[in-house]
Amino acid sequence: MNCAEYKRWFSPHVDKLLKPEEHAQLADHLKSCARCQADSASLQQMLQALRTMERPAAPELLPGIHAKLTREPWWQRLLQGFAAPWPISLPLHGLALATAGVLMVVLVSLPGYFRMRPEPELGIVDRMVSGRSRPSPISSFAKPSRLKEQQIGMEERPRSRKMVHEGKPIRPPAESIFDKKETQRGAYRRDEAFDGGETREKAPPQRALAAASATPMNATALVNLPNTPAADHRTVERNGSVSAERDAVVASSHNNLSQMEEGTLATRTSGDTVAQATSGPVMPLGGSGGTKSMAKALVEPVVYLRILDAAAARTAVTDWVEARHGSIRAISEHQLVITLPPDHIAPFLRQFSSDSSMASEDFNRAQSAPWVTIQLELVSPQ
Amino acid sequence: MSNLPADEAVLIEQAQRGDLAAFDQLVLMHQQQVFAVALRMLGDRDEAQDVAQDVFVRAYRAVSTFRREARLSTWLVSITMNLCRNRRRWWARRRRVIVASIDEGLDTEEGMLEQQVADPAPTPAQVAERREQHQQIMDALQQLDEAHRSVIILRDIEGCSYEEIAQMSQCQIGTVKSRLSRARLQLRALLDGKL
Repeated sequence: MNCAEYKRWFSPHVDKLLKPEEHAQLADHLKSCARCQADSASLQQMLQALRTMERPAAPELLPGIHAKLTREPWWQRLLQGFAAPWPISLPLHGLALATAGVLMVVLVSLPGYFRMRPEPELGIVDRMVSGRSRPSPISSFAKPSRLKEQQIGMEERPRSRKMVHEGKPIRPPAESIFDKKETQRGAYRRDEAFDGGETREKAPPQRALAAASATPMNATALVNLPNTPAADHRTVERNGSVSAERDAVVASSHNNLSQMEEGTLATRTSGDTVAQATSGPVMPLGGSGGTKSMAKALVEPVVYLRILDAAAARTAVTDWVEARHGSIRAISEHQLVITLPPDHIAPFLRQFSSDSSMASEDFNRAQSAPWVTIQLELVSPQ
Repeated sequence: MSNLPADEAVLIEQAQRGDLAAFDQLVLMHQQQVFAVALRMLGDRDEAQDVAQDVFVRAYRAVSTFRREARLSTWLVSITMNLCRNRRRWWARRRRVIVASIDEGLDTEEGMLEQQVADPAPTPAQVAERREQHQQIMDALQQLDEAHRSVIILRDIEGCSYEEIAQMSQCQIGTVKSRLSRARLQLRALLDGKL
């Protein structure tokens, strides 16, 4: 052991806590080490001085203790302060006035603060699923839960969630890809539509064109329709609150779809290969000069259906949907969005598609949804 | 197990029933030690007096929870240490400079009288030397950190046992031993050549 280690024994040595052999070892070291001997003596001298320090006389504590024990609670003292004459109570009164002012400002500004808060997106989903009150394309972009997938018997992931654009995976339409402003704007537009539709843009119905295309047609006939110039931008007028409600939903979905147009979502594909890889079976389409495939993308409960060609088909589709109290809106020259109850989906596909198996197989997935929104993309024949 | 003297136990029992007179007797029995510990921990006489009063106020309000497993003095000193720690933190937040004034009482005529009563035959030179020594010790104590200062005060000035210090400090006896060893070496280094 060295001197530093022996120094650690000084304190227990003073308190007689060392073992006999340790005590003897330290004593031997102190005999041989003058420095440690001096340090030990200095320590003992200091401790002796500490022990001989007189205890200071305590002042009279009892009066102060009694005063503190009988002291009134703070709230009583506060009340007394308020009740005191004016010069004494001035600080308290000033403080009270300032506090009241701050509280008033907070209370006045709180409602405005809550009005500015965006509507929770999850709430929209909840309302749509539980209330079945109105379809909401925005909420439909949300990823279906695992429980939902089990309920609707999906054995594999929806193909639409593996959309491929030219061999590269594309993110499916999801709520997260839309910023909150757009979502909120969609909600406001829905509210706007509920005010009776006065602010909506209206367009002539063009019934003559609708009557000309009213005959049932299959998908082949549809894609072979000539490109009708009259079938341009057209917003279908609807009557009654139900139409206004559906219009509101479609209006909100247009925001999302317009983003797709702007390239936020790359869903425009063409060609057999891409269509097949994207979303499903290639439609058995016929006819000369017509487009060759119908690509569809399915995201529960929203269904995107892309129909190639047939600008005139929009008229037929419009009449068909309106006859079934669905809603339809043109969001661009080549894009339509329709909203239908799910039980009309299969007839819709039977009407406009020659592949009835696709309707029963794929669109049955949307049967659990209160509404199904379909995006139609019309591509002119080459 | 009760380590209390019989009369103290009776007074505690009466105080627990709300007898303020009995509690006053307990105050008179322990105020000296409480004040001394507070004064050496804080180094300021007025603050020590205030803290000592707070200690007894707190003790009176909590005397019903005193279980008599420890000595009353141990319990009171424990409260004193806590309040002194809080007070020093309060000072630290306000950047108050702590000036040691352990022997303020000796500056007064009353203090001189007390000193003479405590030591019946001190010469004026001895009194002056002792005052200087005490002041040096107090200055050195205030330079120690709180844990080391408290363990020196409790063990080497107040004469508490290791077990009592461990109870008051709420730590293990081994911690008390090692802390005391370091504190003594630090204090000796601070007082080297001054005593």
